[in-house]
Amino acid sequence: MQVILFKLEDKVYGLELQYCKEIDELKHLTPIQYTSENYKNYIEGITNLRGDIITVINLKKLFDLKNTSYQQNIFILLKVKKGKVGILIDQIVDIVNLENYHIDYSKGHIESKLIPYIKFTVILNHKPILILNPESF
Amino acid sequence: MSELLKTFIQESLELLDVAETCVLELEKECLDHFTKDLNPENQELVNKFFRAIHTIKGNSGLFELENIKNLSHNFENLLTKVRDNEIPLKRDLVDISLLAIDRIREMIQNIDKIQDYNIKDLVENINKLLNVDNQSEKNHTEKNNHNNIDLESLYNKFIKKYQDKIKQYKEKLPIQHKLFYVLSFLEKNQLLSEFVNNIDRIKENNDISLINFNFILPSFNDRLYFYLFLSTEEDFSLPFPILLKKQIVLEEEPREEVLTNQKENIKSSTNIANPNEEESFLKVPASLVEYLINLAGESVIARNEFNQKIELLAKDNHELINSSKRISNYITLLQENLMKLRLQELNVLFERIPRLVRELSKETNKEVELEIEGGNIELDKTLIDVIRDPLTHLIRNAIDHGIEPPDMREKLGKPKKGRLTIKAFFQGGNVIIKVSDDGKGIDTNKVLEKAIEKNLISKVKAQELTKKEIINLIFLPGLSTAEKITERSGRGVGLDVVMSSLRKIKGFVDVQTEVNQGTTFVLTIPQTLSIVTCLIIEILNQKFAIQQNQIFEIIKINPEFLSELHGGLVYELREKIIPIIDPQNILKPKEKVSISQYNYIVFLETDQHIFGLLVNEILNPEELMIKPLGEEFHEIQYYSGASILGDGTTILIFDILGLVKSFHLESNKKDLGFDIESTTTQKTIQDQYLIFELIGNYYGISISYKPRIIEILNTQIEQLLDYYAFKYNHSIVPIIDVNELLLKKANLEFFNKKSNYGILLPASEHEYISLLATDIINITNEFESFKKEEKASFIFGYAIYKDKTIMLLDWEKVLSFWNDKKLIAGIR
Repeated sequence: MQVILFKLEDKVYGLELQYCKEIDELKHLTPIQYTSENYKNYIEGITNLRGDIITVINLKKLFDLKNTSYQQNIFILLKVKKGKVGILIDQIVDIVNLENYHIDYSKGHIESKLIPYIKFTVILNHKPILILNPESF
Repeated sequence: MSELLKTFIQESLELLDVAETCVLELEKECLDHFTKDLNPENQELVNKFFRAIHTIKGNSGLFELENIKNLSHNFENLLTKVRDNEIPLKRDLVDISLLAIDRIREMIQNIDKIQDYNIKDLVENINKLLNVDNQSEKNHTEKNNHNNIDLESLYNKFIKKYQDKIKQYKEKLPIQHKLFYVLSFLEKNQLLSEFVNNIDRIKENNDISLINFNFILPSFNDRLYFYLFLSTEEDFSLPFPILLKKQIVLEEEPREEVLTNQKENIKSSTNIANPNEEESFLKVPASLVEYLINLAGESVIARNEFNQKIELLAKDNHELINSSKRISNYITLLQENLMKLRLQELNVLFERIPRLVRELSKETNKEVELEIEGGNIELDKTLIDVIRDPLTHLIRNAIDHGIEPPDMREKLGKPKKGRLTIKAFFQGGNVIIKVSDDGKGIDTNKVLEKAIEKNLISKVKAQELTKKEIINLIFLPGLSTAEKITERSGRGVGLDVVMSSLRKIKGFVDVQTEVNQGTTFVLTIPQTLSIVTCLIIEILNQKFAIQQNQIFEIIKINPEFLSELHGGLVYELREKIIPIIDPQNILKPKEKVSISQYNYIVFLETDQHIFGLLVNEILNPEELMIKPLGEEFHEIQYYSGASILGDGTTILIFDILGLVKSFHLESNKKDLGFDIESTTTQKTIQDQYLIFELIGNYYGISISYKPRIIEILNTQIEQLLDYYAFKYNHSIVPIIDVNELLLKKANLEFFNKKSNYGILLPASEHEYISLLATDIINITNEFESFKKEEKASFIFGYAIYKDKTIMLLDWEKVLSFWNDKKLIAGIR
C-alpha cells in the first residue's frame, strides 16, 4: 500500500494513494458558509476543475489549527464514493510504500471528534503519522 | 427478452391507454341516451377503441400469447356489436371493458407468467353480453369465414402485383441481409389478424419462411400500415433498429384494390384523421438523450469561455467575431432544442386521472365531478416521474377524506356532486399543480389531537402552534385523521411521502384549507431545465446568480423607504411593505457592513411570496448550466446549484424557495394584492406611474400594467424585420421605441450607451413587449399638474413632474397598434 504524505503547517498527514487523482493549483474559490455553526465547518467552498464542480476542504479547520490559511494554493484531488473533493495542503512531502511498516488501527490516541476521519496510524522514522479516511469528508 | 417483444409490450400498453381514454370518454357521452344510435363522434371513439384492441389481438397472435389473444378476440367481437349499434353502450359494458383492459394490461406487464392468468370469467361475462343477440353473432361468423377464404388469394395477388418492387428492394439492400420486403396496407378491420393467423398456410404455399415482422402504427386514428418482413432462413435474427431504418413505404394505390371488398363495412367516419398531418416519431434510449443534453451543456460553458477570450483577442477582426457569434447562436439553438427532447406534457399524468376518480368514487359511493386544466404544460420527464405518485395520493385523499357522501353534502347545503379540480400552470419559473376539492376541509383540532396522541408533538408545544403550523403537521410521517383505515388511504403513510418526493426535486407542497369549504394542495415544481437564464449580481464582492424568471422587479434603493421593523428589514414598494433579506445573514462575513452599502434591491417572487434581496451591483444576464452541489451541502437551502462562468470561476445560484424556507417568510403575495391580474385599467391620475426617459423625452406608464424593469445590453438587441427585439427567457421580446411611435423621430442614439432599460409589459398571457428607456426616473403619482389630451392616439395626457413634462402613455392603444401593425421586411 502506498500513501502520499503532505504537510499542514509543520504537521505531516497521509492519504492512501488510491484515492488521489491529481495535484492541482486552486485558481479561485467560491466560498459557501454553513447555516449551523459546527456542521462540517471545514468545507471551504467550491471550485471549477475543467468543468466539474469540486468541493474544497480545509483540513486546518477540522484539526483546529491556529492559522487556517495556506502558503500556496495547491490541493490534492480525491476520488471518493460520493464524488470528487479537493483538500488544500501546504506542501507535498513524499510518497511511501507501507509494506514494511507497522500499521496501527487502534483509535485510543485520537481525539474523539476526529475518529471518523482517521483510517489508521503508521510509525515512520519513530514518528506516528495519521492516515486520513477521505470517505468521511 | 427480444427487442420485438419489448416493442410489443410498450406499444400494447400505449394502445391500452388509448382504449381506456376512449371508454371513459364514451361513458360520459352516451349513458343518458343509450337507446339511440351512436353519433358520428362517438362512432369515431368506438372505432378508435376497436382498433386499439384489434391491434393488440393481432400482435399477441404473433407472440403466441393465447390468453391475450382470446380475451381480446372476444372483446373485439363485443365492440363490433357496439360499433354496429347492435348493443347499446351501457354501464355494464363500460365496466366490463375496463376490467378487460386491466386484465390485458396486467398480463402484458407480467408477460413471463402469462399462463397463470385466468380469463374465463371475463370471457364468460363478455359472451353473456354478446348473447343478447344470437342471430347477428351467426352472421358475423359467416362474415369472418368469408374473410378467411379470401386471404390466400389476396396474398397471392399481392405478391404478384409487387414482384417488381420486391426485386428492386432486394437489390438495394445489403446482400448480407438477403432481405426482401412485402408491404401491405390493410384497413382497420379483421383482415389484419386473420392474415396473421393464417400466415402458416401462406408460408407453405409460397415457399418462404417467415422470420420477422413488425407493425408500425403511424397514427391510431388512421389506417394501419402493416409491414411484413420476409426473409430466408439463414439470416435469422435481424436487429430491430435495422428494420426500422429499412422501412419502405409504398404509394397509396394498392389500398384501393386490396380493400374494395371490405369497403362497405367501413363507415365514413375514418376520414376525420388526416394522414398528411402525421409527424414521424423515433424511439431513442433515454440515456443517449441524457448524454447529448450534458454535452450541449458543456459546450455552452465552453462557448461562454471562448466568447470571452475572443472578445479580448479579436478586437477589430469583425470576421472572427461574426463567425464566433454564429457558432454561439447555433450552440444556443442546439441546446434549447435538445432540452425539449426530455419534455413531456402533463397529460401523460392527467390522462389516468379520470379512471382513478371513477374507481374511487364507485368504491366510496361518492359522486365526483372532475375538472382538469393545463394538461398541455410541459415538464421534464424525470420530474413527471417523481410527481406521479404524490399526485395519485392527493387525489385519493381528496375523494376518500375530503369529499363527503352525497347525503351529507345535501344536508350541508352543498351540491350533491363533489368537485375535484386539478389545475396546472406556470408561475415564476415553477410549474404549479393545484389539487382542490370542495369537501369537508381539514379539522385543525382533530389534527392536533392525533398528533398529541401519537406523540408526534408535546402538549405544551401544541398550544403555541399557529393554524398554519397545525395544518402542516399532516405532513409528518404516521399521522392520519381518518377514523377508519381503508384500503385506499388513511394509514398515515402518504402525505409525508408527498412532501419528501417534492423536496427531492426541490419542490414544495402547501395546503390551504377551510372547514366545510374544501382543501387545496399546491404543488410547486421547479422547472430544472438545467440551462437557465440567470441574472448575475454582486454581493459583498462575491458574484451570485438568480434565475431571471424568479425576479419580480429590480429597483435602486431609496434609503427613505428602507427601514427596520422588529429586527427584520422592510421596504416600502409603492405603498406596500415587503420583507427584505440582508445577505449578510447568508454569507456571514467576519465584519458586518452597514446596509447603506447596498445599491439595489432585487425583488423575488414565488407562488405565494414576494421579498427583496439587498445587492451591491447588478451585472449582466447569462445563460448558465446548473450543476448540483455535492451531498455535503444538502443542509444548506440557500442555493439550488452552482455553475461555471465564462472566466472559469464558479458561481452559486440562489434557490428562492430555499430562501423563503430558511428565513421563515410568511406568504404575502395575496395579501399585498400582487397575484391579482391587472383588472383595473382605469386611467386616472390617482394611479402610480413609472416615469422613464428616452433620449430627452419623458414618458409615464401606469403601474397597473405591472411593468417590469430589466437591463438590455446593446449586444442583445437584434433587428428583426423592421423592428428591434431581444431575447428574454427564451422568447423574443419586441422593443417599442416610443419616440419613433409618437414623435416620428427614429434615431439610434440609444446604441451609444452600452446598455439601456427595457420596460417589460405583458402583451398576452405568455408574451411580453418591451418599451425602450434610456433611464428610469421614478414611480410616483405626485404630479405637479395634469392636462388631458384627447387628440393624440397613444397618450391620454401630460403631467409635470419635477419640472419635466411627462407624456402619459395609453398602453392599450399602443398595444393594439402594435398588434395590428403590418411588418415589412427590412431593406438594407
